[in-house]
Amino acid sequence: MKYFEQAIIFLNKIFLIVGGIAVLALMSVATANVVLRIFHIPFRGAYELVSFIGAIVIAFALGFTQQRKGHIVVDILTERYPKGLSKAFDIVNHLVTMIFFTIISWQIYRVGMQIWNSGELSETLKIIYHPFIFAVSLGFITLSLTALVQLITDIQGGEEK
Amino acid sequence: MEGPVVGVYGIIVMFAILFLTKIPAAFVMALVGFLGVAYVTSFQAALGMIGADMWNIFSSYGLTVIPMFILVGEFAHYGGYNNSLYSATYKWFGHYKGGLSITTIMACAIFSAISGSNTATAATMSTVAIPEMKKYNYHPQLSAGSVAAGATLGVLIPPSIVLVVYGLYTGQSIGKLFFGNVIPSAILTVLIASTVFYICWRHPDWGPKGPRSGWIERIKALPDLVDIFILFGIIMYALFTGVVTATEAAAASCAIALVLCLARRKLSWSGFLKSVSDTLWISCLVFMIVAGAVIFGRFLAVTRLPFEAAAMIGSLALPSWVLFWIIIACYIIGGCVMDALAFLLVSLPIFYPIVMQMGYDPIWFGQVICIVTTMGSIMPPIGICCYVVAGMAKDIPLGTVFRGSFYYIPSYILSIIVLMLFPYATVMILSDLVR
Amino acid sequence: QTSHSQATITLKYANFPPATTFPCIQMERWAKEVEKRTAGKVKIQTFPGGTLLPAKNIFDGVIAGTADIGNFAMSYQPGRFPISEAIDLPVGFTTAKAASMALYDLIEKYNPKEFEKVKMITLFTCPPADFMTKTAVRSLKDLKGMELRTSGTGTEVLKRIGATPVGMPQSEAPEAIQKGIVKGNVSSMEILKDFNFAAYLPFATEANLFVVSFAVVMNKDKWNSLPADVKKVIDDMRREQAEWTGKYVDDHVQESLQWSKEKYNHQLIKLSKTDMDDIAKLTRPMIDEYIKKVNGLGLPGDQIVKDVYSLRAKYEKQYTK
Ligand code: NA
Ligand code: NA
Repeated sequence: MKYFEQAIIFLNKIFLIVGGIAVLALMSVATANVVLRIFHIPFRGAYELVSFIGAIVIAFALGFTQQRKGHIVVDILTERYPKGLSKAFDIVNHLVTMIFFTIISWQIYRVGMQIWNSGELSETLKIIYHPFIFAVSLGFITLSLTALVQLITDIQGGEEK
Repeated sequence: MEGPVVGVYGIIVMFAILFLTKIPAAFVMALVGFLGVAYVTSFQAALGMIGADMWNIFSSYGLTVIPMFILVGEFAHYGGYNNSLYSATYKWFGHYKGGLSITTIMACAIFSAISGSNTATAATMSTVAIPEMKKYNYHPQLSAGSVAAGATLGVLIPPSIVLVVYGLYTGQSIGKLFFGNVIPSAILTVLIASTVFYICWRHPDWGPKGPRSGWIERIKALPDLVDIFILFGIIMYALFTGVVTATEAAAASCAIALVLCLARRKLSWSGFLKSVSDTLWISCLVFMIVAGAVIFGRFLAVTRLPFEAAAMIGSLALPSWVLFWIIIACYIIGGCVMDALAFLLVSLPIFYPIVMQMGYDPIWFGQVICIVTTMGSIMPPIGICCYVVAGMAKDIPLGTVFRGSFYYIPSYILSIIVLMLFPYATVMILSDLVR
Repeated sequence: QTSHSQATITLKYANFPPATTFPCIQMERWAKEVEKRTAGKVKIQTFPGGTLLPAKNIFDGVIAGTADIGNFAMSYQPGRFPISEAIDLPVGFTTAKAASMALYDLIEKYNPKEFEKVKMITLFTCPPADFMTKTAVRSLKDLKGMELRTSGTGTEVLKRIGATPVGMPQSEAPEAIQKGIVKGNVSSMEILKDFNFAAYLPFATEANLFVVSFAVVMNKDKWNSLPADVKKVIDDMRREQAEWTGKYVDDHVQESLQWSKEKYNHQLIKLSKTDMDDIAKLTRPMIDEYIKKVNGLGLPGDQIVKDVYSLRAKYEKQYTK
């Protein structure tokens, strides 16, 4: 378990670094397009490229955001739950999260496969774009795996902060 | 069960799970939406929808504006610009009762204007302002409430994501929307600041006076703000006259902020890393809320509840101003039910045509919607700004933040009334300047 | 056996553009006709503006069953519908009606395998795309380096005739034009009125560059579950609906031009014969490339293009104004 947890933390960190590079790339591509346009040489694929990079930015932050419990929880009632009940709901939360996002990841993978098999290209640049879809699918896998780690911690009754 | 009825049950189930379990709000909306679509159509259909919708949202050009604006805010924060902004305004207003809260609201207003994001503003201002106010014995309801309410200005004052989304959906000029927004956001800012005076008058011990700074000290604080005004000026110039989309304006201002920070050696390596990683998780959180709301909205669309409800409201034989307030009420309730921006995405295609048919000006209506959705971000139970503030200020419970924020609700209603009474003087007078 | 039951069959019809545009108008017309001709046995729920499915997911969403019926633009998913792409080539259709019927016959003939998972309801195209610009385009020279918003086949066509294509959705075009990011829009001209483009694009140049092809498809299981009489009504409407839509949108372009002229003093320019010949010459390699590409997929590229030319000749003649 210890090794598994550390492996997932490491994985999230790697993904975070890639996401960080992507957010800077997003900034650079969009800024470069403004500059190029001033010189009347706009890059016709900028729209598409920005969208695809944007997908990487968010997808690769999914695991890290789950790890730091960054998502908003409505806890007005649940914060008053007794300890045992609260623990039970932690387990429910992490179990549901893990299953649901595994399904989502799998479905996004299927969208990617569909695009790949049908030979569909991006609208303007006419490039293959299913790798970006697979990347988003991968991002959701990190979210699921992180939820799994949290679930195991819950069940083992690991020290909660 | 008839379609629309399923939609109503869906909303009830969504709320029950939201309040009773510890599953994050974004996941609850997506999950209930997913199961709802499966119930109304088929499990196979729901599977197909969720994969495609997630990919579509993640790869949407319009939404890339979010990480970009958050990144500007983070650079400004870790570059120390927020701090200098805060201490400068404090030197000017700190010696008034509740002056620190006023300062916070003003700092929020200026910072929002750069960042375009209420969550980014709430997150950064919580770390800057709440400890300061605690130092001077401010009541947590006042300090947290003023940060949350101030942060809502992030989506009101241009560059405003709400107006961008509204513009994209309705085909209205975003420049016109931004110009038309100047007076309404000034009105709301003044009203929110006045609310602080009201709170301090009702509870004199909530916001004690700070020390008075001399004029020399006050003037000396101003040069620190030069960079912020340069940045602000460039973005505004580019958006109003220039040749850029909102995403490009945000990206370019990121680049400029980064260059400014590096040129003045204001941003350390660790500050840079923190800016980027904070940007990633805050953007991720916002995106997931948008995704959850889109999927939940998809479910509502399949049940035809919004269509039937809108058709019913549209067919009511009522004077148009009554109809208008019913629509506003829908936005307020919708804002309580789901993330305000997401509700905008779901509701606009339905209500926009009705409002246009009633003959209201589209730019003006954009401002009204902007104020209502802005208010939604401090409305319980899903007011996103309150969550961020409670999340950042660990010692202040969520309930306190919501109670503190509730004082500011009348300001929003009052601004809408002013807009209704004087549509030309508040909105069109400036928006008409843009071609 | 439930075919005698009085219970109405409800079909969900997903569409992506706003409710006021021609793809949605044809949807409402089709829905009304089907409801009428089945004497209320079938009820069609329409979802315009991407409320049920987003644009690029309509085809897959119909296969999955999220919607029962869906209308989508094949041209916006290049590579996926190789046969219909032949209609989008710059072969010089002058009306939507002719192009729609040619598309219909072409798909009927080849019965492409990309549609094997769905039931074809109807097919149609938008009117041929022309230049709508801020400054007058009177000859190909005026186009040199001009940034123009387009979509589908348009990117390639514009590149070849010397303009600078910028691919972006129609919804982003108004802002991009106002800000000067693009100097015009290359699309069919009904948008002058439908999206009020006439307000900021005072010139149009007729060039009949290319069309965008649409298909309306139904979920196969849903189709198989329908009673025979309902199937017959829908089948009988397939060709009729293609023709109706083509005629409707052609007329609507004329109405739109008239409106633009009255309201904004909008000006319509025609290119010279030499310029039109030049466009044909410059874009001709696209047709050769298409043939090579689909041959590579194991499809009879030469024959498809030959069919497109002969169908064009047939319907252009039949529908000459
Ligand atoms: Na909860
Ligand atoms: Na803003």
